[in-house]
Amino acid sequence: MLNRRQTLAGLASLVTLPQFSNAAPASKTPLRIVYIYQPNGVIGELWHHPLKNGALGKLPASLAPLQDLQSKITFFRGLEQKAAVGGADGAGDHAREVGTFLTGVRIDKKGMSAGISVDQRLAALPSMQAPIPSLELGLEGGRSAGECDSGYSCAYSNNLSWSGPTRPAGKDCDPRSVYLRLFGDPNNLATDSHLVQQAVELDALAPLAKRQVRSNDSSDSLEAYLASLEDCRRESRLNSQGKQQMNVRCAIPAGISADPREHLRQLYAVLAEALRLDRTRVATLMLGNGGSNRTYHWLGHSEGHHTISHHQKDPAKLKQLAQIDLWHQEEFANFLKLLANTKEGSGSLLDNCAIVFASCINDGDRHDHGDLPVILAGGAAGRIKPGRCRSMPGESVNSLHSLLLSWAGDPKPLHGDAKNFLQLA
Amino acid sequence: MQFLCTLLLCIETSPLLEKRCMDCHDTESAKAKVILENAPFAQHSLWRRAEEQVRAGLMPPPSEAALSPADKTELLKWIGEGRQKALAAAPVYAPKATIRRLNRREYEACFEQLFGPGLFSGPGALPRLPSDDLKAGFDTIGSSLSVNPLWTRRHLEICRLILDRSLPKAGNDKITLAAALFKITQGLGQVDTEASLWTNGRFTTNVVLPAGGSWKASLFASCNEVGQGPGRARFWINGKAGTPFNCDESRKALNFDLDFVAGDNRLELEFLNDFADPVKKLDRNFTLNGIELKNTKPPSPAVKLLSQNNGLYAFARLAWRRQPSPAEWPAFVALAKAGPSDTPETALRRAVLAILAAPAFVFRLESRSEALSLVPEVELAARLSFFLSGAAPDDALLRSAETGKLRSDLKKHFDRLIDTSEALGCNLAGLGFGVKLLDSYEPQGEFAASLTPSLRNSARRQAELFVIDLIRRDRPAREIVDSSWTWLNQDLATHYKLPWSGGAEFKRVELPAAELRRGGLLGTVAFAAVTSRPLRTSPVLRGSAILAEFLARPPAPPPPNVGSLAEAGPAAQGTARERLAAHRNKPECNSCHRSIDPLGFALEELDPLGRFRAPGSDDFSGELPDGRKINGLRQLQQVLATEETQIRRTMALKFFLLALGREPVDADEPLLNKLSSQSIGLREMLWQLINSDAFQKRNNR
Repeated sequence: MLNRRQTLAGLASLVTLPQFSNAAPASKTPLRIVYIYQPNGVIGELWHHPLKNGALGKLPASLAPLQDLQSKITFFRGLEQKAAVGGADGAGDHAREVGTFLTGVRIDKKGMSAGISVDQRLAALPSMQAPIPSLELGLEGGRSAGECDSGYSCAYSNNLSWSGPTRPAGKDCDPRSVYLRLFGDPNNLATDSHLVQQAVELDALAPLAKRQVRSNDSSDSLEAYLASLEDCRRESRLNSQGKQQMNVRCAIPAGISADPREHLRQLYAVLAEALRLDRTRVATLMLGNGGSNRTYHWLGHSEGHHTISHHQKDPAKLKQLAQIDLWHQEEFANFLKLLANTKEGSGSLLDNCAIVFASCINDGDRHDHGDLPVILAGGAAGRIKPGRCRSMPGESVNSLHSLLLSWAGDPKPLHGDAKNFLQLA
Repeated sequence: MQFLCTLLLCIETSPLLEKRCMDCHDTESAKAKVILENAPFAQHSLWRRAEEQVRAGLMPPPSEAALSPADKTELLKWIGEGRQKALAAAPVYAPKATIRRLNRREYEACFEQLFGPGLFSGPGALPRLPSDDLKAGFDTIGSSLSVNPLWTRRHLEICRLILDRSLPKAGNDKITLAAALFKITQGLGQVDTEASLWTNGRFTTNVVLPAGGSWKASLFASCNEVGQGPGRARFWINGKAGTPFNCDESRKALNFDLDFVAGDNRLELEFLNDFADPVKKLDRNFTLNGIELKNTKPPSPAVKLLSQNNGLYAFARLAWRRQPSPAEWPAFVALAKAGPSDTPETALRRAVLAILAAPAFVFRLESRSEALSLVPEVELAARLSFFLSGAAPDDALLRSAETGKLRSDLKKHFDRLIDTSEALGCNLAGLGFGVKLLDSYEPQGEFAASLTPSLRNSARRQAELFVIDLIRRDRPAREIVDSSWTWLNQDLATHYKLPWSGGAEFKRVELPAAELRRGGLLGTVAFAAVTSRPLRTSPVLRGSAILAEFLARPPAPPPPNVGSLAEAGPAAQGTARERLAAHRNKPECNSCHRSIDPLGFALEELDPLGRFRAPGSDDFSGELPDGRKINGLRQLQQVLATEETQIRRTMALKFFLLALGREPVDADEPLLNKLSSQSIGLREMLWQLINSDAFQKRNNR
């Protein structure tokens, strides 16, 4: 079986000219694409209103932190993810909100099977190549016992990124580990021989692992393991060629902070540096797992996010949910400012990014997957003119994914049920 | 043949079924989603569910007239007989083995088998793998145990760290710290081939150790014998001061036992009593020549194995749970041979790393078979061991399998593993009854202060010990809800306000008649806490947990958008109980909540930390769908204990998920039915499961 990288790289090499010539790259600076995911939906009243198609005015209350940045942002209304609707599969909207959002396909309730996610498709495209093909980040590991959602595998609630139908990409929640992978250890630079040794060891063991698989009954998870060894090998070779001196502007995190606010800020800081130093061009960040029941203590809450998201229009709960939405936008705005304040080419790093912030549930009480909260920050290296709201009721969010794929030069950018990529002209 | 049986079975229709069920469960109108018309009894799960719904009084639904007792008995008899026939006729089912990677706890247990205990916790702990994606609440389901580059990178990182620390190589058991390695971080002095402090001050160095714990230290140092008394100095390790000691001019080695952590350590030596008399030209300096550290820990199993003749092979056999094959092995041997640019150590390390990175270590691989047949004994050993002890087979088990004696000695090994390992009991409590969630329960307010770390630990341990004991002593499954005994320590006895005569350690106790409420899991801190919100209890959460975890009847999740409180009228603004009653009155909520709520109300007698609420402080009563009334925890226990078959089924299901790494399908019903329909204890149930076709055989077609 070919892995996605082989398949997609192969496809890409067959087609030299993109079939879609939508907004050809305007600058030579690389495009970076990030998806940031908020679980449990939002309070629509405060998130969507008064956004209307066209020019922007005063932003909705939950988006107030983005007011200064609004000229850099495109707001969407009306996008939906049909693959997340329950239908015959019944309950399980929180497994589906994550499992379908970037894959755009229905997910298997009995076993574990989704589809390749848009970020992993992007990471395989020639224009998106960087030393680290993609980053998958998150704030929460998996739950330690119990059902995640209605009989679905926890793989769906826990994984936004999928490198293949049975291959959830996992996510790294430890900012230190992410930092070390991206930039190496600043306190331990004299490890070149160590890195060479690692590469030599991997070169030696990978073929042996392969041989052992070949002589056994192969399976998809064995193939996934061999592919992951190859990934490690490629990365290790690259590292052993000596890291260029990187001027990393954030401190190396000590690990996962006990304070979730600090935890998120560190992940944002490391991510911003990864984009600035062009260590990676594709990333996903899960602000919580599907149906996350994290308690936002620092906002004075005593109940978990998922618990209160079933608000039944209780004013106290609605208020708390609005506080969560607002808090995430404050942090998001700070992240965007890091990018906006970084000069790149004739503009800023943010001008060369496409950062999608979204949820795949609109209202946590209704579990609906239409009129999704979706924001696209950045100028996508000249491919979009931000500072507007685009209202497109009934349009699939997969059309947005397809647009991003086309920006990155995918010759066949259609994703999920998308019939075309989003037309923003 | 099977077709004929199926045909015969569906021809036997029941007039009662026709009359009372077919208005909705027929193919034509299909008012209900569940179609019973023409459904053969070989659709085991369908008919089992139908039987259960009728028995529990949930069907016919409340909107229809209830069955008369006689009709109910007759209908149940008809379904029961049909099911029994179908179960007896069912073919042997043992599907293709799922190839699955080790889950995180198995992985860590395997490493600890090879490299010694305590690698993944405490100071100097190794990093951990990403957590596993659960399915059906368990971490054993092969289809959900995926592998991605992140997982593999972390795996290789763990392997490298372990090998750095523990492979036999110069410096792993004996470390010499020359004086030149120290820096003066306080006071004045000079560091050269020897290091001197001329004033009070400190020498500091960092030392990376392969193992934590006690190391023998020989200090080579001297102090000028001038002034009053001897020179005084002390060690600081990782910021902790040691006892001051004397130091003279003899240059004899001074010996100490020092406690370090695995990995990085900060080692400091402080000179405490500088003395100088410029007139008499007397000066007491502290001179350090070096320190030698010796590991006092016995070498890990891996190191012992690897130092033997043919050690690499013996290591691979344990790591892979089988002997390396003649075809694959030479390549690994070749890796261990030093090339021109290697030392013997780097070559050995490379080979050991390759063994640990091999799929035979990372995955539970099983051989192919084109027809239904017994799994080879070596594979059976792994099935047995991972299930009962959560780790790879030990040498004795592996040897028994290699010599073809495992099946004949199976009982002996079964007994040994049950009696020596706690893994199965811990997993059953932790995953099967959600006790693991205790670690992440974040109570607030008063509860946060009361749930001390030590109470949290005791709570978890109580649940584990209770379940381990339940299995070891072959107790009946119903004792999981109603037992006359439990395990307690002083902490818990005080918390539960029970008399206590023992010491601080846990022991099994018989409960006083008035305190039988503390028997089983329902009345424990652990269960009370993991079914509570941070500041309150929730009857719905608790009722649902009882249905799901003890009766294998998980209620469906609430339909989305159940409406607003305002719509539910004034009652909805009242107490939690009144709000729930309003909720229960909605038809779309009633079908589940009439089962959930009464169980939850009874358990309201316990606060989030399992302390009894004062009698009369709230209403703990409720009415079950079949009309029985319960009030409070004790009656809840008694009512649940009558559901003996269902509780056994829950246990059988949990054992199944842990043992076989897949969720049961319809064809597994005969096994589950067999395990749950006999009046047997849990140990016997395990023994039967282990001897079942599903456990013993596989079929790869």
